[in-house]
Amino acid sequence: MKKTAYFLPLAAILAATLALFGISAALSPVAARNARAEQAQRMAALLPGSRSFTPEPVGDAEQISAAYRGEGGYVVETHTTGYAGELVLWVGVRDDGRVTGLMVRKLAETWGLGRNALHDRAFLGQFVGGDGNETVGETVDAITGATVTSKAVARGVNAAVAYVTGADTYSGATEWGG
Amino acid sequence: MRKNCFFVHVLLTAVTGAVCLIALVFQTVRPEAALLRPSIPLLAALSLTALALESYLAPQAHRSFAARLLGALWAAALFFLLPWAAGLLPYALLWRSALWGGVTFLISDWLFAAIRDRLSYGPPAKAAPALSALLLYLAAQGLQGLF
Repeated sequence: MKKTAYFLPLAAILAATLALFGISAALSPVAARNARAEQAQRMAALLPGSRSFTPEPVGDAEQISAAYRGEGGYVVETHTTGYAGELVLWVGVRDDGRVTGLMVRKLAETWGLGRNALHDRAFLGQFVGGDGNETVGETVDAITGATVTSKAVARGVNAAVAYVTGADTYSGATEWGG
Repeated sequence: MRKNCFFVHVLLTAVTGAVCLIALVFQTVRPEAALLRPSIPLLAALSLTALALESYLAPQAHRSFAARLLGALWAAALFFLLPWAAGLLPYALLWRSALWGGVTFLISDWLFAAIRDRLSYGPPAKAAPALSALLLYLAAQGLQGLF
């Protein structure tokens, strides 16, 4: 085989890498601007009545990766472990501990099952108005065929409320397989 | 080009690069979108697409076992470099993508050739590469969640 046979894929990989690197660098200011705008818009929807948010320190709070103080409450970012990976939630919580909204920001769950948590309004809507003591199978109905994912969402919501109110979050009924 | 056994990696670069570019643009325009994460079915889909294209564009290409092993290394490097260049994945996922991508490509290459050769007789001969790729992709669905 000619030497060009070995160099051709190498050249293709390098060219594609450089091209993607350049495009990514060129688009990064646009991506950052869009991300900030989207973040502000989503937070305002999760905590109605609040327009501005300031980052709050979370220290070593378990399952809490970020928190933003708004007018009358917080938007808390939580991370829990679902069936196939990390599950990141944004939860709007008023100062009195009531959940005002939530959305799934990142998940790696199975298509057609746990991944439905992204857009299953009936499931996610069960948490709105709650006080952070949600238990799948008791106060909340799970997504069909996605009990583990549902419990991960419940843990995230409970952790967010606990961050705001300072309550204990442990609940055996929301553990994996519990 | 017809007998270049590594032409498939040029195709794999093109296919994976296109997917990374689409994901990059989509993420820029819609940062809230939850993009597909690397998984065995996705890696298999990319590999099988390149293999099927190679069968149609360079039907005389043939790889020895040593060439397949080297090809798996190329694929692993590709599945690391392209998502890294596009800024799509964190480092931990990049290494896993590279490892699983190389293994998936190696197994896909071997099984694809075996199935395609058996289907390359009679009426389904022209559709053999596409059928082989589709069958293997469906089989790879069973490995969803393993990654």
